[in-house]
Amino acid sequence: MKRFIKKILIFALVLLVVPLLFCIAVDPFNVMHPLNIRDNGVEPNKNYIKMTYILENPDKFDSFMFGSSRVGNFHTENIEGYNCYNMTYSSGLPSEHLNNIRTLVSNGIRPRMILIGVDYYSYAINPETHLTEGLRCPYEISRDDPFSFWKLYLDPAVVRKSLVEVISGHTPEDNYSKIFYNYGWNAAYDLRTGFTFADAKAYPTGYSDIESAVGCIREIRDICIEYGIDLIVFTNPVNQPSYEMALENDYFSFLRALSAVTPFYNFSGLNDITCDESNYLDTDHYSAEVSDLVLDCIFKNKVDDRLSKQGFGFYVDNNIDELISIIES
Amino acid sequence: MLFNSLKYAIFLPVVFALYWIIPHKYRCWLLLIASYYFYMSWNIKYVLLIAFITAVAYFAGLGIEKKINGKIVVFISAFLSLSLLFVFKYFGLFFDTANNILSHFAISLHPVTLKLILPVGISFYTFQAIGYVIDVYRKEVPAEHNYILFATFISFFPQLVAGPIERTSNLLPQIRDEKDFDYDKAVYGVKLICVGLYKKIVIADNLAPYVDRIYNNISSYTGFSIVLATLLFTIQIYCDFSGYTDIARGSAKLLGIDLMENFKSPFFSTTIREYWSRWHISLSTWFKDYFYIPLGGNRKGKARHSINLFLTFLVSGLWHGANWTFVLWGSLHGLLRVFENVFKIKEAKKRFSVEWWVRCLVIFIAVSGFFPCFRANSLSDIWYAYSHMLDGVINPASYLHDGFANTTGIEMGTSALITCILVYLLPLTLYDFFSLKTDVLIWIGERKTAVRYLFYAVIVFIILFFHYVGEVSFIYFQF
Repeated sequence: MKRFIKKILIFALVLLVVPLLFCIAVDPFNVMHPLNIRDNGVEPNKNYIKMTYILENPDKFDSFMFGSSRVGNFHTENIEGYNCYNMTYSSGLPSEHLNNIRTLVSNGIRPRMILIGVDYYSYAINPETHLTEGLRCPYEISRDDPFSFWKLYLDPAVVRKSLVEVISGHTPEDNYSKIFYNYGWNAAYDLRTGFTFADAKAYPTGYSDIESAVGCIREIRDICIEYGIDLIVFTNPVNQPSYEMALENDYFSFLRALSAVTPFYNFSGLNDITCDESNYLDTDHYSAEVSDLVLDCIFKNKVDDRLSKQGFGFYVDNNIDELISIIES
Repeated sequence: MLFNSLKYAIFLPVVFALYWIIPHKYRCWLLLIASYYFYMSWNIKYVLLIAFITAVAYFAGLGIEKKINGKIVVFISAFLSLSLLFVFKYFGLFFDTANNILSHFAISLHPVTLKLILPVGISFYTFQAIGYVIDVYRKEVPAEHNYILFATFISFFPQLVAGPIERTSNLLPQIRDEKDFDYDKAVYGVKLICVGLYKKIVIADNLAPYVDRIYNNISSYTGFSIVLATLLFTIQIYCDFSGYTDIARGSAKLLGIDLMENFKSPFFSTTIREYWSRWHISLSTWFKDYFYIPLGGNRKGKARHSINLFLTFLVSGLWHGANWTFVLWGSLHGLLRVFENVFKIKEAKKRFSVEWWVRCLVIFIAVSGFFPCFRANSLSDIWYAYSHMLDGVINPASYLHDGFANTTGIEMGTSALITCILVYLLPLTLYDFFSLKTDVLIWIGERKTAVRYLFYAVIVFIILFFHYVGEVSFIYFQF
């Protein structure tokens, strides 16, 4: 038996150490060094890295913008009167925002303002799916269940899937980490991809839990009330194909449920912005210029009359029926 | 506690170490405690079920030995065990069916909702217990007097939740008899576990999302998508179940116990009869010994023989799940088996001949062609699958292209296809093919050290680098 155990242990040790070193060396999601990330061509786990960075630098920002990557192109540094950081990450969900805000508050960080962008994906993605995704595993898991968190990032099968991108000779972007840590946005102004609606790939996710998603926003609202934080919620100006898909999947029910919890700015619906494909980088993401229009409306009350009549920038506060009748027409 | 979980990766070595450290007289206790802990890790309440079924079979065995009317004892014990199985597994199916039928006569039954979760493995250990009682009745084995030993036999954790459904004469003496650590057996066990993990977490789990994409929303798909998803499901379920069996057998071998083989390269069969002698062997032989032969087998004329064959497959289908889809699946196999019987179709005489290859392909297509009944969620889905499989076939290029694109989705490119063939299909086919001739694991063990260890390293690396991320339960746990 000793011979057996000795052989198995040596074999297992050799075969496990190599993959382990491989995972640490490649680290495609940048979780091994969250305070010093590199642009390796793979989208990092922004949720984990941004949260770690903020907790290490609690006084650097006084406001935060949360949401999915759709909110990723907001140049929040342009919001006057605030020092706002774009906290968005891929597929960011209300339940994750709630956990992150709780963590910030419990670590003594009291934001002046929190902005949250929501849309169909806010209720149509099962948060549990993120637990096994290197790109999206939430920050809270690293704290509440560090074993599962690090097991994911030391799993060679997870790392292997991103290996092609890492070794494909990606040219690092200039100022990648500077932009990441100082602003948090993804796309610069003037970025265009030539996307057309014919290329759009808007599919229902097959999952829907409006009650949970809105319940999390309710809890965020309560935290904001408790700590005197200004909460601003808005709907993303998703493009026509995505919006039509959302409509078929209970989007109005979501808007109604959301309106019962908090006032919000609406930018969704069919309007001159969302029906113009040049405003979009791909199916899911609108440009930095569109993001500026949203910020102008929220912070400067500046919105084009024609757009306003189309429901773009409509402020919902006990008048959800009015919004729905506008965007339905 | 899944075999492919970290919990089991800790549990098994702990049980293994304790088992060989402690004296023989305590080993049975250890296995019993480990097995009950293993079972309770799913649902602590359902341990009462297995305890009840164990007690029923144990006292039935003693009753038969004491010359109490054997037939009645067998009947009562089978009735009690099957009643539990019925309540937990089949009540909903029969109630809903009765309600549907009666609703045509404007009668509606009072709604009854038991809200019971199907206990994992209930069909397996119930059948093992019934098999024991019948074996005692037939005087093939003596009644077991040691309750702890008997309870361990029923609940032995490697085969508790999805078989193989063991025979008393094979498993019980192995648990009872004192044995020394067998190095070769333990090494073979580790190899089997690796093969099982390869089949399960590399092949089956990676194929599952493609199959689920189609079958969980089948009305959105037509044509080759359904055909491809069905073929992938054939491979998925084989790797899922035979992978489970390999891990079960490997785990048992680490404890010095040999469980029966459950799969022997089933897709290299030239008749349905041969297929069922290679697929889920422990269930096939159970039904043969305890259902088909008592029905009369082939001893009561050709007509009865065919009826008995058909009934056996029909009930076997129902055993798999509380859904008429499984009954249909079993019936289709039964019809084909009856067809073979009536027309006296025998296995190909010469292995590896052209005829043999062609007939293997025909049986593979037939077996795969029946799997929509196994995988589809309802009878209407089955009908949809069969009636839309050939949509668009008149334009073969787009039929294949669209089907492939829809099944695999936008994320699967050429490299993933190459991975699928090189990592999933080719090794599996080669392993099963060479298993027809020899025990591949022993054959590899006889190679030179460097070759052998290189092979092991490649297998372990493939498991580590290509496994599905996340834990997916075994399909047969639901039965």
